[in-house]
Amino acid sequence: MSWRHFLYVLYQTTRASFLTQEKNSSLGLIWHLLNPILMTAVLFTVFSNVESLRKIDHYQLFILIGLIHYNFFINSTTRSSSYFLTSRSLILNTTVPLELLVLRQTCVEGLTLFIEVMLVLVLGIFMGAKFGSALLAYPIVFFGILALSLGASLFLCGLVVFLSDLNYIWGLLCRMLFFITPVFFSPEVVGEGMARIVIQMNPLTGLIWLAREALLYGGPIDLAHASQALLGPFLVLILGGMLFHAVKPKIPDYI
Amino acid sequence: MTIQLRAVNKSFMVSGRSRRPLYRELMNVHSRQRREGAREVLKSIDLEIEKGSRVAVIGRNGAGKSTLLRVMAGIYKPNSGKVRVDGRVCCFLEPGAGVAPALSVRDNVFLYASLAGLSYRETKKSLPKILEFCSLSGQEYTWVEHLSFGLQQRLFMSILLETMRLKRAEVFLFDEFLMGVDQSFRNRVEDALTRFPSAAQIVLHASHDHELMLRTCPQAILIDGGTIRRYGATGEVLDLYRQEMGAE
Repeated sequence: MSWRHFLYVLYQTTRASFLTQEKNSSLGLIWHLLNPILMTAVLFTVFSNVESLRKIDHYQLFILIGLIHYNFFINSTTRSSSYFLTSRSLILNTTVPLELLVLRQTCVEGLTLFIEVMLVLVLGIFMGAKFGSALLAYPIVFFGILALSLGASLFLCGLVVFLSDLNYIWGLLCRMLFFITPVFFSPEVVGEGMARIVIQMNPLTGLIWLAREALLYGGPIDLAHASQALLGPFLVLILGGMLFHAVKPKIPDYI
Repeated sequence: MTIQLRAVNKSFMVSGRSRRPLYRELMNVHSRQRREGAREVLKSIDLEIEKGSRVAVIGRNGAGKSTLLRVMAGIYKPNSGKVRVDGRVCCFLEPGAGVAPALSVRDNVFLYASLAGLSYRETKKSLPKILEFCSLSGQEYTWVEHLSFGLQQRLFMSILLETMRLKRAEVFLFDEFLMGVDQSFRNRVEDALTRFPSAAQIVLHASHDHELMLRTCPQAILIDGGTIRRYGATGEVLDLYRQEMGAE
């Protein structure tokens, strides 16, 4: 399959998944906006009284930006692996490249993230966020988080065929990940020590920091810092891709 | 030469992905032992199919027909042996695999045609022809889930025949694709299958509909227990198959 046709099939399958998802709910697209807003409201209500968090500028938007990126990662990885398992008929009866099935779900969730980022921008205008040239750096964050999610999804989809319980384990890990991802706090709040090291090692930390600089604080963005934030996601993408490539020939036998 | 299989073996581990909770696996040692080992589905398959061939794949249930087609399509990798297929493969091994039933006929034509190998421009141009062939003109915006099974089959088959007509693939693999469709559509498909394939295309068709096989495929493969018993003229192969079935 040529690259051009691969992209066309990806577009068609992504579109079909997105429209099917929309059709299965009464509020459709509105859910994508309501969900993070309501969660932000809850987190803001609970944590805005904490002394160290109260000092954060535009704390509502700070939470919202963290939340939409965290949600994107969780939703795209968990849905990729569950949809991959339910795509048995497609895998066994068509010649569609298996990577496309993983990428499709990342793209569906990517569309949702795009809509949510638009919401952040609109809210930012009303709440006086500092937009500047740093906003131009946001596509880097977008592709960085796509790379991270795709890498993790390839890893999960490659293994879930052989280990049925992996989806449950991943669900558990995602819940734990919420507390080591700076969604409603900044890494400085936890002070120095082991917790800080764990948070810094989380590839989402750098991306969320970069997203906040681009969408909320207007930079300036340190190039070294930005490259560091992108290193983890691309490493995950390479490792996930290598694992998927290694197990791919066996997937139709076991699914 | 377009399809060449040399000493192809395909087996599946009986104990594939565990579909039971881990604790049950650990508790039930006997059942675990029973599930170990491999099941050979294709054994030492040697096969050469020339360009322009129309070949019926005949055999009883579980003989290995679908596995053979999947190996040719590159879906299953053989455990040993070599598979060479020159050209693009388009397969219809399960009706509607990959479609979105909640979307319209039009959306599904574009989706399924993309999976079959057609570009946006080709699909747009062929859309009226596809809908007319399956008698769905005027129902472009009907949801596919609201169509009967037979109409859905008609739709997917029409897209694949259009792929064949436009020569967007060289190898076509079908598995019981006329299940659930009425006689008038069968006649139309039979006619298309005799007119559409070019001298450069191969059509392989696994089915239990022997009359259809006789009319559309001059050659046939008889597969039994994972081995090829006979590859020759369809009439002779069918006679052998009937004799063996009758002897049981």
